[in-house]
Amino acid sequence: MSGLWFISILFVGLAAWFMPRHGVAARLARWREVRHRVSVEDALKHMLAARQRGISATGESVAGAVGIGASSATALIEEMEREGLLESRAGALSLTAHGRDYALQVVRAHRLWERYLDDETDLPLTAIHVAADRAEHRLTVDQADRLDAQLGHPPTDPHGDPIPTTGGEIAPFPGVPLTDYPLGEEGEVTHLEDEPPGVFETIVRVGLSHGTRVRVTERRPGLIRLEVDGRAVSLPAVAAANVHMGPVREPLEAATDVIPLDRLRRNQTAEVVGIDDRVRGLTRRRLLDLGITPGTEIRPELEPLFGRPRAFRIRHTLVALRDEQAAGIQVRPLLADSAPDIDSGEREAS
Amino acid sequence: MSGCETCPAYEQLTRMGISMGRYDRVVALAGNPNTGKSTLFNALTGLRQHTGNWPGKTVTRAEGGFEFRDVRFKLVDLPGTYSLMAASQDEEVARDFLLFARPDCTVVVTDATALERNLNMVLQVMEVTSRVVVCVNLIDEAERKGIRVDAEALSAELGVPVVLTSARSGRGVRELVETVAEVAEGARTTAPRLADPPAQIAGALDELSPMAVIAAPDAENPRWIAYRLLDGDHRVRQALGTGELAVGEEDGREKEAQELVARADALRPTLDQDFRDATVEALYARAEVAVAQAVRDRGSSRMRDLDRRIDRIVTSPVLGLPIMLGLLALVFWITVIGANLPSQLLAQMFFAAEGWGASLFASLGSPEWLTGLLWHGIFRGLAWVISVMLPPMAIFFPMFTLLEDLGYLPRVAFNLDWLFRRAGAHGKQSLTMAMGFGCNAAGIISTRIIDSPRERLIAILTNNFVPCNGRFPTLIMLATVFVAASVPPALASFAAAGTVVGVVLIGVFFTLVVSWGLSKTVLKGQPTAFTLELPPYRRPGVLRVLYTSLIDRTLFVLWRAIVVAAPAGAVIWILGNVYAGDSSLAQITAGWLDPFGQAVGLDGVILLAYVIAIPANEIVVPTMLMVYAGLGMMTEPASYDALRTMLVDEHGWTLTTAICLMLFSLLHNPCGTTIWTMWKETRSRRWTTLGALMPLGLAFVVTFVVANAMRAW
Repeated sequence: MSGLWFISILFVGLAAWFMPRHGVAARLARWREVRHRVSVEDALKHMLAARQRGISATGESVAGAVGIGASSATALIEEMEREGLLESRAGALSLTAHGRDYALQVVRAHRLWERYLDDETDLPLTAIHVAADRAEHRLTVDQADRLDAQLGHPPTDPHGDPIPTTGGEIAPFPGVPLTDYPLGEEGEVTHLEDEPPGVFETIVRVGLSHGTRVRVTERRPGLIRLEVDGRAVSLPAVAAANVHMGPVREPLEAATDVIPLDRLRRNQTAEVVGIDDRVRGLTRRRLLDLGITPGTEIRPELEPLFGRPRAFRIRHTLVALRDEQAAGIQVRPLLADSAPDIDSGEREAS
Repeated sequence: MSGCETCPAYEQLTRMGISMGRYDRVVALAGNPNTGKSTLFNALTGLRQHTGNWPGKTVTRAEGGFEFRDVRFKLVDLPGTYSLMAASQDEEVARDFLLFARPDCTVVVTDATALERNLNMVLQVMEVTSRVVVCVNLIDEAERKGIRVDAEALSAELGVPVVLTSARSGRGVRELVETVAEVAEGARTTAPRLADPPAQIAGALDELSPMAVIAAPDAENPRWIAYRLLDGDHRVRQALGTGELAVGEEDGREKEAQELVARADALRPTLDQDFRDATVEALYARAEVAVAQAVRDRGSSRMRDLDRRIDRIVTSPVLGLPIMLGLLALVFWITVIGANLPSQLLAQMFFAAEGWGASLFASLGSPEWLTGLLWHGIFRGLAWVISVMLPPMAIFFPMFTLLEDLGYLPRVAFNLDWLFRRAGAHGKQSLTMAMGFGCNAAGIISTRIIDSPRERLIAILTNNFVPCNGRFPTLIMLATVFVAASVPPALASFAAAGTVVGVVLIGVFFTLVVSWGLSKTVLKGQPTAFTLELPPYRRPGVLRVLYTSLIDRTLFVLWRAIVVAAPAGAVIWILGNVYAGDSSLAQITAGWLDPFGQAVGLDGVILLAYVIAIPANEIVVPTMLMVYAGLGMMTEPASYDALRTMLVDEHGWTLTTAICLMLFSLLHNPCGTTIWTMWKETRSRRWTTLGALMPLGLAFVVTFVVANAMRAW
């Protein structure tokens, strides 16, 4: 009896191990394959970034970027050389044309995925980067093309990095490094380098993001003092070199009589000035579809039980918008007396 | 011969699941949501219609037909959308149909009370196809609101025929049919006056349009194709490659198509990034001009004031909540009272049929096991599900649809959005939950009203925490036998009702907590957006309500339930009738499950009943009683007293058992129909598995904690 049990357990165990697609052995092999591909792609990405900065990658830097030991890195580099992805001359590594194309595909997938997450979800910027680090190895070229079209072929990712085209073209970083930006002149952040993560976190922590307005107040060896949104902060030069700056573009709220829609008072009519650049993706499309275009009259008309979200009268329809959406719509209040007050109307009636 | 085999788009139609049968012409019905499109559809087709889904999509499709002057028209109702930019599944379906199926005529249904917004859609449809008829619907309502629409002026502005209708009263419908026939038959030509493209892209469009003419010679919308390539539309790009846009060509013009796409890619980076906004602005600017020419609006009227006054009452801090709860209670009360008698009658009828069928089989000499399996197993299972499920659903769903048609339900979503927003969900989830009281599967289908992907998934995965009408009888029985019995008789029915309400509130609590948890963990990287339109109040079309709620919801759900309940009936009969030694298989399995059951405050029999009743919650209690009584078929208690004696005295039930069972019933995994529906709606094994296992795990954890806490206490 126990022999029978033993044989059947053995059989089930073997089946679970060797089953063609779902067996443990098959899964393990697939997992190893994926992990290997991830290492190769991370190494390629690292070498592309090094090349863009005009430095050359070494076995050591590859090991650091991929997160493996020196001997594994050597093996990885040898294999990539065999596959024709890179060339090694006297310790300095360089990408072949094939390796560069491959690296650009990975970068493209990464940046498109970041763009997608930033447009359509409410994930914070740091989480987006981590998610894209995983997605870049999963997305096929065809999927990346689809995503690119779905997003309307965006030129840059949320950090301001240009997204390579299908053909593998990549534009240089827009703007000047913060370390070289003229003293005292106000500028806007055009690009944030998101690698390495520690440095990126430092940059984000002082309040810098894409589009933030910054003035360089003092430049010392190894340190830069800045004014960010009226606050004085300082940034190590290593981090500042990872921030690029450009001239300020005139934003919507420059005019003094323009306020975000969520601050419009009840029963006050306003005129839409525009929708913020921060509002993107499906949300922006919907707002436009509903007729929220410059010059449209808009008026908070109804509040529910708990006060939020408010419903607005737009082009003869009543549409509820949450505060975070309304905050992205800039409006100019019209003269108060142009709007008949419903409250008084109701008092009259009753 | 069947009229349409030679139509240019015949193959495309077939691919989209439209069978032309004996129809000669295809007419599409497009338009914004809340324009009375379905009412018009019914007015045109009568009962000659059927509904289903678009192939591979979770978008409802309605098809019907009508005949006019010996020409048979097939009418296809496209999903109601705000635009054709293909940003959502609905928009994609509508766009694909207009572009690839090439209807002979497209009717764009618009709301006369909000024409400006609706013309945005008309202008977009006219970009894709020129054979357009604009139907300005709800004209009666508009006139009562002091709005006059001049059809001729509007027609002159748009360059396509305009017909004023009021689909509910039938006004203008005859004229609409005539106009549609003329346009579809080519007797009347249209010359749409499109919106001028914004300056940023005019040059690019001028360059690309002639190339589009060459790449897709038969396409009637080169400028639109050019725009979509600039905007980024993978489907159009793909269609150019496969030649789907070059109907009638022997082979697609691949080289020309590639050149066009490459040129569009090259031009795009040179354009202003805000060209998409500018395009929508141009559409609205055009709509404003047309409205200024054709619409006279007196500004205010008593009708509009009435709408506003109702709105202020149903959303007021004092009356809003009582009205909402009162209506919900009323709907429940009518359902429970109204379903009682039909349920009993159905049950009596079915059980008479069972006896009759079984004796017929016996008299024909059929072996006992076959008679038992077919009649006492499968048939009895079906009978149970139908008699418990059908009457409440047939009452609940029409009432619910009535409130929906009236325009009250969007206000409920509006009122409760604050609460759901904090849980990372959408206010409309309150409506899908309410639908879940009728049936969780129907509740999950109704999540289609939530057009934000993340919030829709949340609503799907948590719908199960609302007890459906298959679970209510269990809750009511337990509340009556255990809770009500322990209070003075005068208070008994209040105690029972209060207990059931308490359980429902616990369900709502879990819905919100789990929604919050999901939005912060597994669903945090899913796309999210919020829109909620509050349409004007409207008198509901009672016949339409009955039709849609009976056919679309009740029968549809019932059919799925029957398909999964039949095998369960067979399994239950086998477990109750196959003996190994002295005990039936059911008793043996129950004994084996007992330690697990005891750990969570239940027992083996209850767990067994839940395992075999996965297909349908209605049969949990009958199965349980079957095993307790040692019978061979599902059974019902003679009275609550008999039930009490059986459970408490013979099988050792305590208050803990009752409470744990109520919680388990509330939280445990969704029934088979619901799981199936989850898969149909998400098309994802991952989400379906999560939706099935997460509630089950939660049910075990909660009952385990409660059982041990109560024993310790």
